[in-house]
Amino acid sequence: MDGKRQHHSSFQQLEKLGEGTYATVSHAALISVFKGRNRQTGEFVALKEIHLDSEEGTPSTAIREISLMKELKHENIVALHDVIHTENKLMLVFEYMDGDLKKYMDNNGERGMLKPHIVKSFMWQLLQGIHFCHENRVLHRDLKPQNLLINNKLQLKLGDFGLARAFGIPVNTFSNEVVTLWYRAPDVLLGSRTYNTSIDIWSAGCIMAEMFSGRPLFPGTTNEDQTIRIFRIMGTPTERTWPGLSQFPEYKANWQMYATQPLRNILPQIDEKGIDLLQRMLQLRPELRISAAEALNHEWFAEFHQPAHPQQHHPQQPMMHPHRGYQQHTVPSQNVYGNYQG
Amino acid sequence: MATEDARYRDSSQYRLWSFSPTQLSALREKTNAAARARISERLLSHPLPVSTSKQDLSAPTSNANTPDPDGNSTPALPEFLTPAEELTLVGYYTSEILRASEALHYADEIKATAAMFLKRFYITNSIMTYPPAEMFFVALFFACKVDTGHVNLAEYTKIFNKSAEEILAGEFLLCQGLRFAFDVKHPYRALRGAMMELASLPDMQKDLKRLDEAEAKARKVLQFSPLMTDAYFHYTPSQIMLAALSLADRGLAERLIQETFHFVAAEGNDTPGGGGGDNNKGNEEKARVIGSQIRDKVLGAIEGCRDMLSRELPERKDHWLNKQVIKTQITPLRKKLLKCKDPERWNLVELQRVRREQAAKKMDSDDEDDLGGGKKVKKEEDGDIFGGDLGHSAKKRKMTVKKEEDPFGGPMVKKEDPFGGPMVKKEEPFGGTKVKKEEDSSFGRFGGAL
Repeated sequence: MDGKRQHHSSFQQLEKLGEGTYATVSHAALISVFKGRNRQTGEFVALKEIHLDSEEGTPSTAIREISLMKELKHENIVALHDVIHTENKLMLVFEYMDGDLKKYMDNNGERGMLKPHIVKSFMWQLLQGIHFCHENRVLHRDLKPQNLLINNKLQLKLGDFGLARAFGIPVNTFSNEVVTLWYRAPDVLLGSRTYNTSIDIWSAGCIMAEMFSGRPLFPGTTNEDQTIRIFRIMGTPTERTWPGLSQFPEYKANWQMYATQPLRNILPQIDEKGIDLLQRMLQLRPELRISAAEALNHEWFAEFHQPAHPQQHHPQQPMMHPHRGYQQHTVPSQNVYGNYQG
Repeated sequence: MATEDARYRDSSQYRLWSFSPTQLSALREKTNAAARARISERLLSHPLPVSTSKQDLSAPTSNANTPDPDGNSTPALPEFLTPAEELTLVGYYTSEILRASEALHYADEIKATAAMFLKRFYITNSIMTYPPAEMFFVALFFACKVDTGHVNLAEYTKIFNKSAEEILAGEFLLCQGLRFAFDVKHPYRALRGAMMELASLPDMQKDLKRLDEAEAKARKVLQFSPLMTDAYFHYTPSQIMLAALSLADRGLAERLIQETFHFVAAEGNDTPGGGGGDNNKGNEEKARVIGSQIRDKVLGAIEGCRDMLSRELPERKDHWLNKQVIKTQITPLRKKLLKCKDPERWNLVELQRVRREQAAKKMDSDDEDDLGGGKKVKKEEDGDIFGGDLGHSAKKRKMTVKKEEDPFGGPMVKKEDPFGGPMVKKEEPFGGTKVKKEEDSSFGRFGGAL
């Protein structure tokens, strides 16, 4: 972008929130995200501006994001209000969120650690959003604190669906180059190309641990390092504990053998029920991982469950439960958040 | 948890692209009329471009430029395509899409998505405005992009002998015409789910061959008939699937419907109005009554869909290839089309170039905060059918957020809901629920088959 301010008449463009790229087959498409204001309503929006290149036309990542976001309307998924297509750029108009979970932890946590009731509320909302995606046969594939957007009402919404995709179509076309390393499920690390909804659950588990401890649970630097870090805590799997393990492309016969460590020793901040849920989310074997629907039914969330229908979660149910002073917690002014995009 | 039906009602396919037959034909007529009016206006105000514009095919044998019998200087207007003729041509190009994507061995979903993109586009855009022979490539290319996420443009241009520019020029128009709803829901998954359901019935175990044959036959129908008709605009994927199955093996379709509503009745709490609670007897009774009402509605919708599909059975593929048919039915329409095309829109590459220039110019002149009242360079689109500018400029966008959801200001609500019967159904055991059960554990199971 040159210095010239470009406008779309209905939206006033305010400060830049971030920059990023969509990787395409041959090169990357530049994305800028701006805060904007709807001139008509005064409402803030996030404007994601994608520059179109004449080589490939509209980047398929953008197309996929639009395609999915058009279908996914949920309280815990950032809403795509509009798409503006001009001859040389594409602008996605999203609902405005004040910041992301990463920034929220940095600014509001105690050395990054969030209060247990905040963590629980965020996890509930995160799982609602994930559940809705999975119900609609969409994998997010790139859940990480930077992609979880928070507003000053402490609502959490899934954002950045650039890597997401619908499933149900041939699975072997999945790329295994997805999900930021730290939140990447072990089956993906081992080279699985037939992963499913459980990869998002693994990421959610990592995020839960991080909100409690203030530190990423498995901050690996390479694929290999990431795998080993997971094994060091979750225990090194064997063909006996994980039938079919040796068939994975990245399987190594000479992995160092680690014993499973009890999560409560590593994360003493978490109460017993919370540990139980986390344990179920962080199962090495994808088929043993708890589903989003089951996780929402877990007793750790008992306070969110309606007494009348303990088995059901109605999407229309309010996400934020006004208890224990959630409302007193306000997110500080917006400009502490530099990045909208991760 | 939302039911499969509730989710379908949230889909863009239902919200934006489902119509009653009356609504649909009204839209097509409106599109046709708008295009006529605009092209007439252009031809009348700029009589020259008609004669100077490239006559793509035959020499001008038309009466388009013959002087007015009264000796008046106003140029005569060409004969325009009627809505029915437009529809025939769209049908022809849809068959071409299916043929091309078959030759390329594209997956069923991509073929069907491409076909639906073309059909959706030409509901609100006239083929007199934008050339179907071009949009056909664009739709196919774009469907690949949406479904697979990666298409090598260079390869694609080689296959179709088109320049990248030609393909990309239309992409922008297509996106607008589709109103940025790129997710098309198909009945293939529903068919697989239905067959699994049938296969799980104890007495079907010995009849698996029959199931296989029915599935193959139904799939053939699904690959052609609903795409060549308006079925996707009127029916849900599972209704289309049931209609196709009924064409393949009526007994199986009936059995499935029977089993389904038996199932609804048994799950008393899930039926509409069944509120749970201990009054089980009453609820069961209520559920059964509701179940049978729903069943009758479903049967009605499926019969209607079946009739529609019967008009374009897979055997009709030959019809669309038949030289005689093309010569007598298609070629005359194409010739007619070339005489009544929109002179300003027909060349997509040129159109894009002009618009890019305008956009750039606009950016220069609009270099201040207040653009709201700026003049709009080009506004009237066929897209105005939707009651506003869906289009290429941001101008009216502020209003379209709402509009997009309900662009027809009412009809979309489907008050009469002629096909609505099955929509009330709380469970949709074909396709949805059954498949969903598998998601967590054996997701891969469907991968290969679909």
